[in-house]
Amino acid sequence: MQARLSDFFKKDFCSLDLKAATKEGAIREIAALLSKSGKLKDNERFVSDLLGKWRHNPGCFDKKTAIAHSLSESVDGLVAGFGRSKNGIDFNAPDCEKANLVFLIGANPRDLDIYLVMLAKLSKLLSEEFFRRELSSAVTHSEIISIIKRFEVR
Amino acid sequence: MAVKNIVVSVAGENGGISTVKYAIYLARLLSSKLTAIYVVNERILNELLVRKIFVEAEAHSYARDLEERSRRLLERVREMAHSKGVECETILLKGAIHEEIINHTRAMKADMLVMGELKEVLSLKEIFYDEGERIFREAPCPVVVVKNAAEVERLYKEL
Repeated sequence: MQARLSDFFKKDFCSLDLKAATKEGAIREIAALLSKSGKLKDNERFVSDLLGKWRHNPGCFDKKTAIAHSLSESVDGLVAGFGRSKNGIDFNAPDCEKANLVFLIGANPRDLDIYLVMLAKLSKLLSEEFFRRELSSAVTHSEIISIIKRFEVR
Repeated sequence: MAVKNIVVSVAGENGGISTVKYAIYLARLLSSKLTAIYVVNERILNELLVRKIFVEAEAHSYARDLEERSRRLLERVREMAHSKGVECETILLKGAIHEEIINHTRAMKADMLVMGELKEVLSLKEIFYDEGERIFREAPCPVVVVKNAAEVERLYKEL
């Protein structure tokens, strides 16, 4: 039985206007939203795991989109969040300019299978230009969730 | 027709163990041989590598993790079957899940395939791309889809 991205992305875990200007700031901001899920046992450790992972893998999907992801003992199950930045965030990565769309996925190592499936589904959706475009122009948090739902089942 | 060979597709610990328990129950009831197959989803790792979500070292490390985990899980399945007096062979494969399960079920001339519950389908795309759906539709033998974990648990305990 396979889960869907929309089982994890919730409107409370999305920001339409990230304040951060750095990748660390963006991760912290989205992780703070994810703490509302009740699945983060240790927010600081989660952020540190994501940043540690990012030193080896910049996580840039394309020039304008970044995916921060990591397995972390500080997560119960799997969490997924999203942030959008008007000015873009510098990820200091060769393939990335300034990312306007930032996704964050974290999972407990026990949930490696579902972590891989969710990353694969997200990267497949992100390869669709219309998906990225709709996320960029969404006006409300609910709209973000509707877009994810619509694209993953169509 | 006697059901001599039952194959169970082991999909992981979440929910997968209930499927295994029902397969053991059926194998014992029908005096069948049980084969538990786990497929390490290598295709997904390759996809993530190609899409630059993973770097090479990362993909290799996850592949090793998945393999170790699945070995442990299959060993647990073998012990569970043994404890209920059921002969169980375990097979670890790598590749695309539905292809490997279908090919092996066919090659082994299995009389029955036992698999986990399918998720509600919301679109045609899910019918075509969901691994479980594809196994269910393309299997060369009768398929048992396991539901109701509480009832399965009760039956298993009664064995």
